[in-house]
Amino acid sequence: MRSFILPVILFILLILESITINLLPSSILALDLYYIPHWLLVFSILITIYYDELHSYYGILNGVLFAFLFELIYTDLLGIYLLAYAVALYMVHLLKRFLHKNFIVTFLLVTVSLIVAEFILFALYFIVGQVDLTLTDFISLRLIPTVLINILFLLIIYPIFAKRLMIWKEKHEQLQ
Amino acid sequence: MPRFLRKRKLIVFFTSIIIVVILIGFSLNRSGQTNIVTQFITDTVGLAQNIVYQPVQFFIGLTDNVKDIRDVYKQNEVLKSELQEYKTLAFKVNELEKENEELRSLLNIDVLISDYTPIRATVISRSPEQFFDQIKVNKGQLHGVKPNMAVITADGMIGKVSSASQMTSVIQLLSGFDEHNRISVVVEENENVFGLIEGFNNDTQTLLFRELENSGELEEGQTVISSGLGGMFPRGLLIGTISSVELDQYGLTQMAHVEPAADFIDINHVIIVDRDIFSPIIDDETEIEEEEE
Repeated sequence: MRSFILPVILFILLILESITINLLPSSILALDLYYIPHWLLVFSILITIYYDELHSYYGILNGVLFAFLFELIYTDLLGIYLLAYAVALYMVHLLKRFLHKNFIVTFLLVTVSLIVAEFILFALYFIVGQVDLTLTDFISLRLIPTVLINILFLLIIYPIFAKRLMIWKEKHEQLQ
Repeated sequence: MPRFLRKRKLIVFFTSIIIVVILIGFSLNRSGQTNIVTQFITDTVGLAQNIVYQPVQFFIGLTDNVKDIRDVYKQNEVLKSELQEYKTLAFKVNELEKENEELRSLLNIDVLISDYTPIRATVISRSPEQFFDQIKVNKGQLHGVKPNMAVITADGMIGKVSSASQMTSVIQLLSGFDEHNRISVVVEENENVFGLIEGFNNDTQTLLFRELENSGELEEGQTVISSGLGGMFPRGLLIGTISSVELDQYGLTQMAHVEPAADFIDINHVIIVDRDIFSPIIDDETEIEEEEE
């Protein structure tokens, strides 16, 4: 039962992502800014930091799997989110062994990996021809609002899940 | 052992890069066709989205209703006076329809290029990746939706069906149109002015209308409707009004910016347009598919 709980949470986030976009008041959407929810990535980072051991890959595997589902359902192009999320999560996986597990570190890692993921997304969409924004436009219109809105999401879910993920991890270890 | 591990990591890295590149290439070439696995996954998620979205929609509706109650009296007065006009208008329309049918039967015309069957659908989600202007609705192939059908709201045209699975379908909004998704259009007041909608300008939030013949009769304020000559959409779907006219980059034809009539952001209910007259693009595709089966 325990092992299903992470994918179930991610699946709920996957669905909520599309619905919150519809719920935002149209005055905000009309501002020309792009608010992209990367909740799957943020939650996968939490899994990587607080649930994974040094040699387990639950965060990366879940993140990659749900990035693929995300693209299958919401976009026409496959593989781009997959690559961006995989690179960002692997970076977190490499960095976490040098850092403590606390809120500030989580905050910084989430911010950095959001920026990395967004740049990979933009670069690939630009190469493929899906967008034709300039780099400065991309940074002011998409990168900053997106990072801010996802940090807001982190502030909401961190108190709920950080402790809980560690408890689940201990229970998981006891079972083994 | 560490060296072997490092080697294995390298192999994993390269294989995953190759897989990603293959995936991107594969999905770039795919055009509207969806296989059974994709359909199954989108339908399953669509079901969950439906379950979550209905109560959410209900609560939004509730708050809207409270707002509406305040204005009910005023609206009632206005509507009453409009109802009188409407009655005479309805009578007139009935007469005209009858006359139209009689004349058509005289000429032996069964279907017009403007005739269509509406399929009503509700929006269940919008793509969180806003580089793709896509929405998902709760009607699919089982309800008769096919790729490339036009989609309208009460205000005007909003896009076309880009892929349809069994229970849900994905709609590409006009704001995501490019030179690969063109619409054949005509100016409503003047049949001589016709051309193509060739894309969307994000800065001005307008559609780009290129005139095919340089008639010189393109003016601001004209209404643009679909011409029905593109082979996919029926005639007479309202697209927008012309907000400005300019020469194109080569100075040969005129380009116009068209202010879309429909709102692309606040969409809840849509009508999918099934054109009655034979459409080589929509109907042929399904025939080929049926033959394959």
